[in-house]
Amino acid sequence: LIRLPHSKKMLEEKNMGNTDDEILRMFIEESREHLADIENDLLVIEEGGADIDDDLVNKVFRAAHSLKGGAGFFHLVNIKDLAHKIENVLDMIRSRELVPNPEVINILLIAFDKLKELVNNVTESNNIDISEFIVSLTGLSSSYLPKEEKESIKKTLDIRLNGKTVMKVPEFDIAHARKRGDYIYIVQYDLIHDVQRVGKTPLDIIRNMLETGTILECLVDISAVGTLEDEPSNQIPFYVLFATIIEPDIIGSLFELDQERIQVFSGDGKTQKQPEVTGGSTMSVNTMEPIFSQHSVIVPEDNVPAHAGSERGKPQQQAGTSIQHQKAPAQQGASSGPPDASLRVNVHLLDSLMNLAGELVLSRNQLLEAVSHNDRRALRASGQRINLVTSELQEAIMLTRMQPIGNIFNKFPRVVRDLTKDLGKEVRLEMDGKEVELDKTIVEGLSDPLTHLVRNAVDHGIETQEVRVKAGKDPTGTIRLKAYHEAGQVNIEIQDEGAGIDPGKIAATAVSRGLISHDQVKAMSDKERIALILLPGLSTAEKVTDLSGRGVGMDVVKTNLDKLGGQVDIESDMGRGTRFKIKLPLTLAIIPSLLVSVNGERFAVPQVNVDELIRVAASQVDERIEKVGDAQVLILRGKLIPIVRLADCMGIQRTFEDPISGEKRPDRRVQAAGRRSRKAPLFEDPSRLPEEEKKDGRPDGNERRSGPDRRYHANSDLSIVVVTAGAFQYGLVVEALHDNIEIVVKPLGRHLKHLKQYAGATIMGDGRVALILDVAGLAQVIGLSSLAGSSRAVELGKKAQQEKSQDIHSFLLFRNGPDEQCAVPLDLVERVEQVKASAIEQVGGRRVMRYRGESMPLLALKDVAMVQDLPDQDDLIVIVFNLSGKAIGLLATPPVDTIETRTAMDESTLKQKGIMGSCIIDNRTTLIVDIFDLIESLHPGWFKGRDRRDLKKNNSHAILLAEDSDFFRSQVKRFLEEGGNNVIAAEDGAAAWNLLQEKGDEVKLVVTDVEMPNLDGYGLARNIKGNERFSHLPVIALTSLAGDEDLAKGKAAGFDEYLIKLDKEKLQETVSVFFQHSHERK
Amino acid sequence: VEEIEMMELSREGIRVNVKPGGNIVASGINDLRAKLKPVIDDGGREIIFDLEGVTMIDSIGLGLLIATHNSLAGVGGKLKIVNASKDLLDLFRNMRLDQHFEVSLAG
Repeated sequence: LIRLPHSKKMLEEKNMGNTDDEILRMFIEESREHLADIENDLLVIEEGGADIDDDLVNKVFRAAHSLKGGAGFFHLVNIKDLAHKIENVLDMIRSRELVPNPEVINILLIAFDKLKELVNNVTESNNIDISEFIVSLTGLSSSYLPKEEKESIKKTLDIRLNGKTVMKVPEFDIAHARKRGDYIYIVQYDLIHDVQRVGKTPLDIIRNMLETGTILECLVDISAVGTLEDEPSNQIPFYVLFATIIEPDIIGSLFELDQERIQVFSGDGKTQKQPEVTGGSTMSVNTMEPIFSQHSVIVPEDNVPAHAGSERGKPQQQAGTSIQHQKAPAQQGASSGPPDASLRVNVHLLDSLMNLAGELVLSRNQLLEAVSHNDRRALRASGQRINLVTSELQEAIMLTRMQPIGNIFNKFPRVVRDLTKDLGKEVRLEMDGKEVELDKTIVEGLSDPLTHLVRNAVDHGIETQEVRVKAGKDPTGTIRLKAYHEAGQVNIEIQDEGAGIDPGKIAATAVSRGLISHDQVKAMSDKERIALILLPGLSTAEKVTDLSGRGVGMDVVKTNLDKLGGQVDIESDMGRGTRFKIKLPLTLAIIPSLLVSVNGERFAVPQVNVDELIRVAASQVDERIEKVGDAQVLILRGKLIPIVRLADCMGIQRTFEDPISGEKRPDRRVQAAGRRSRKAPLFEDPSRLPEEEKKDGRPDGNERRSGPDRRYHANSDLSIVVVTAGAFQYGLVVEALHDNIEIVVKPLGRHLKHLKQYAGATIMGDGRVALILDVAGLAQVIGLSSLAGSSRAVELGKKAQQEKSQDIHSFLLFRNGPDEQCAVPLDLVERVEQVKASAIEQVGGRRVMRYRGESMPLLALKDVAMVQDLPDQDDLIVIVFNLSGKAIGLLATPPVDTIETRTAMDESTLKQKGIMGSCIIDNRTTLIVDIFDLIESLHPGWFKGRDRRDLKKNNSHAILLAEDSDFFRSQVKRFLEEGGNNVIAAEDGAAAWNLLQEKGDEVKLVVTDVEMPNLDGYGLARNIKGNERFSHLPVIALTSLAGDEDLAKGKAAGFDEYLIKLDKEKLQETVSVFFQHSHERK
Repeated sequence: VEEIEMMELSREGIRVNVKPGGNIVASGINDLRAKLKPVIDDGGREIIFDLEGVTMIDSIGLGLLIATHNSLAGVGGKLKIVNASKDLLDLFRNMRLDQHFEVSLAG
């Protein structure tokens, strides 16, 4: 029905010189449409087996056939050939020569897949290899060719022309062609006049014909040519019996022959003159113009979005009707590039849009009138009217973008069939709610995640038959796909009644991959554990089948759904099955949002992301908000939810309302409390601030906390929007909450596109712009994360893995000899001076130079270690260290550089006096200088004086240090000793624990690395805190891991402080603070 | 003219090998026709057209082949076409000319 007018149009346009692109695009679109349902039709045919549904087979046949015709027209040889072969096979099915068993259908399915690929890739299609498909299709048809055909070939029809029989054609062929819906023409060519004289060759015309149809029979009238003796003949008649789908009125333009040379073959052996088409082809172009109406199913008027008010809950009703929306090409000049750049829309819908547009114009006139007369009443009336029309218009336009979810669902029977075939499982697929409509963008975005979920259900969900039988289940598993509306959203469920997901297994995998900790798992419900499968890098399939490991993982499912504003909920019952429930908005263009503001700046938070709004009264801040590491958390019904101030994220000056004067004042507080504070300095009652600031500028959080709370005022309450980004929740502290409104999403300009924290912008009623927050993006930007903070979790997981073996080292690189790269820990270096060799003095057998008014001793590596001599050059550098309060310089040669590296250090091969070991930096073996060793060898007693003095002071202080890396151990030990402490060092947590048992009474403080063999820092802390004898000992963790998870985990294990490796000053300061405290306690 | 200049014609008894060596098109037809006529008159009964190097045959060329066939048929001889390119073979087949004389593919 559809193909004829189109093909006709195509032809005419081609001949009329219209752009081929446009017609080609139409062809592609039409072909896609033809191919869309083929899969399911074939599956139904397969199911029917020998019991053939003629209509269905014909439908598929016609699809292939019209593809063939169009492709021929565009010289798309491969598409044409493939479609042709498919057609042959289908024809045999139709004539019951071939039973559509699974093998046959399989070949057809694959061939159609290829055909789809070709169509989607039209420009390349001629270069794509299809031979494999041709061979298997040909194999099918030839192996089944029965004798029947030979018999029918025997019966021939005489083709008579001008009273004499020119050809005999098997009846079978004619019947065949007619069955396809072809027209049959008898064409009379004269190879001299019609071909040679117009600059063509016989090959040209043959090709032309083969591309648009089939030559059933032909004849060159060789008797008309004569012999070599005769004069060269001036005519060579060539008769062709040609079958094609091209209609009689335009066939002439294809052959470029006079109409009278082409005759329609009526089938009774006679021919008839081709009917004169009134007005010729030009006329028919004009009459073609309402193409849509020709094949548009009539939708009952009352189903079209009617005039009446715009009640909600309408979508269902419309959804039901709009599957019938027969489609017409959209008018937009969208390019044919990306798939589905254009959309087909019900004509009635367009009509109603037009109607509404008309109404809008009327309302505008009314409004203008009212404005010019300054008539308030009329203004109000037109305002109402515009309001009404706009919302109807909005709804109608949204409808044009609505697509049935069936578009995706329809491909699942095939997916399931193929998978079950490969896996040897039996699965029944039930689908419900195909007609439910969603915005086009959402439907498109859903395809991948849903496919993945369905595949998973078959692959991992449904058990093998044996297992199912053993478990007393139906050997055939069922997967249910369901789409339905609920509360203005669309829900999609994918339910299998398979084995279910084992929460324990998921959790164990997550832990083993380092994505979460044991402690976290302990605190999780089964449901939360199951939700872990959404973490990236977590696959539960014990053996990865080739089907599952195809790229998209569950995390991608989640990311995709996040993008669509969708949310996933997983319910699983061990042994009974799993249900994925996805909630999606109907559209992305208009979203209900919550408006919040910070310092007068308004932001929209999409309602789907808002979980709840919480107001924490100023008096409750202490109880409800706690500090974990550097992060603030809100305690909400026993759960810890990280919170951030929106103002801080956005870099906006916070304000608060002065409770007394009522004026707005900037809130200048930034993390006022020290790092040790366990309280929440950020969330103090700001009303106390002004006086406090006057008092001591930088008040200490702890002190203030200890005093009784003074004044409360409603204005100092905290408004927290608890938002959810996928499975992860956090709180946004805002200054004010406003309305809930529907906003129209405008994309951000190119210059702002890269800002992940915004999903777009919208224009508010007052004309101002509000940015729409992307809750997930914001969390990412500010480095918030939790278990499900997918990408970050992976990052941390990876980092942790690396960290286990290697720590970060910061080095100052320099040369000793010209190619002798050396490095010294950067933390130790005070500065680097350039020096002329001439400035170095030799005094009393020692080298010194003047530095800051003193003589600074100079060392060279050569003095102690077996290394090259310093080159004899004038330009040298001196690396200045300040150790034990005195400056000392190391002579070296440029270039110098600083580097952070994770390379593992080799602490044996090149170790010698003054050299701690070596590592590879920038592909060079680099000697790590042990400056302490160096100094001690040359200046014995350098450190002693100070040590003795400090020891006296901190006599009773011994610090137990647990660190597995020799390098860090010696560094940290030096730092601590430098601070005047006794240090007992252990090479891992277990050794430290043993030492603690032995010398427990001396130890006053424990400094530990986190990642260590045998017993890690967490374990050590737990041991200490869980032991009565030691539980009072402060434990400082020293690590390069410092994500929020680590902080939380460390806090749980009992770390009193968490320090980043390796900040000398901070370490020394922290240690001394802890010692002071313990003194005070005494 | 150029196309048929390279024509080779050799004869063993009644068998005549004709190798036009170039496209069989209007421009060289008269020459070719002139050379073929005496061959049959001299008793050539099996004319073998070797189409190596021939990529195109136009209507006039086709007419010549048919005329040759007709002449040979009149004296009980036959025409054979060998070494046809795939395109040309398809041409002969699609026009059902292979029902009149033997056509075989190159190689």
